[in-house]
Amino acid sequence: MNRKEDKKELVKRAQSGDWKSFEELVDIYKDKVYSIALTLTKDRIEAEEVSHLAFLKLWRKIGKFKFKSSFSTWFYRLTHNTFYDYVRKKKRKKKSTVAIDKFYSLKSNSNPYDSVKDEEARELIKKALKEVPEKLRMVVVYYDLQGMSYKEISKVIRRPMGTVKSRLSRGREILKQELGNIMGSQHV
Amino acid sequence: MKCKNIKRLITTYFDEETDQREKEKINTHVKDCECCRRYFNEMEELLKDVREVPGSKAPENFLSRLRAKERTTYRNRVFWLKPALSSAVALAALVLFLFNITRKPDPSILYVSEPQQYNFTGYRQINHIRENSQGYVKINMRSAEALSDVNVRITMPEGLVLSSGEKSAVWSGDLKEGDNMLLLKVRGRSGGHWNINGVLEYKELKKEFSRDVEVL
Repeated sequence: MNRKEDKKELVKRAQSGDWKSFEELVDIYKDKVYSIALTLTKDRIEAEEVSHLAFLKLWRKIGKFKFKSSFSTWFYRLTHNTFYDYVRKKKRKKKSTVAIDKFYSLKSNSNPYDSVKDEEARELIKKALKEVPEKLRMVVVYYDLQGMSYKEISKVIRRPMGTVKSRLSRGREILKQELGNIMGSQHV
Repeated sequence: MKCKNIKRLITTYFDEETDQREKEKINTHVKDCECCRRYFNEMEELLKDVREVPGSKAPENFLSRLRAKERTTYRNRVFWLKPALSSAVALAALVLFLFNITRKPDPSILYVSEPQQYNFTGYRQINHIRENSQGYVKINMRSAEALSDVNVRITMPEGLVLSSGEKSAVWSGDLKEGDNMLLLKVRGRSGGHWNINGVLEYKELKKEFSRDVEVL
């Protein structure tokens, strides 16, 4: 049995109420879901909280999945909605604050991306990504970090492919600017 | 085409979905435009790096904590299926505690089941709670017959508080024949052994009960 069929089998068993199979599905998706949640919430505790909410929602709604589309896309759609509900509620309560977690000091360079090679530089990208507006950031995360296609993202966020493309384009432009700002370069 | 527009197209040049015609337009432009060529190279480098950024790993106890939450959620669902009691239990939950209602005369009207007899979702029952964490207190009442206008008054000790922040609660309602369950969400405030006291009132009948709970 290949991996796709394995997953299908797990989904079927989870649909019949088998928690163990559901846990196997959680194991497959937990890092991706947590990673997306962290990008959105910018906070580890909240990221875990909202990831749990997404999986609990999946457990409640998995019976509604009819195998007419890809399970991953269906699940990411559900996750996306859970995350946005959470963020909306949070915004209503209070304005979020962004903690300064590290101080970076890098030399200015003729090409800022020459330096972006090591672990610390990757952290810089993550940091710059946090400054990209939420709607644009999510599309960049889905495409560039999670490897989804335009079509998949379009289904997940329920927007036309053209919107996906324009958000991706604007998101990357801002990411590039933010990275340039962080690195103190004028070459952006 | 203006450089501004070309730069916008460059942002998606490296995507699989971008068609060849669009790419050719960009290729032609960047050949003669140094500014856009630099932008093109920088964007290529940026995307290469962004795509190499490793995703974050979920915390080690992610699954066990999810499991615990699922249990709580499931309990809440069962709980909400009991409308006669739900008005008294507006609070959510994590841990189960059991109350023993001390029996007074006239047990034929009302008595309380042994804690073990009530297998509520099959979760482990514990008699302690951590400081600042929340949990359930379960009161299980078995009635030999349907009774109306029953009151249950709860008083919290110093080291525990209801999740609403209040120190006492009153439930008024009807008991059906058989098992009836009341749940309260409480929070540990300070360490030690504490007694949660309560009294069940039905007409002239008063049944006092008490439960020792340890706050760690």
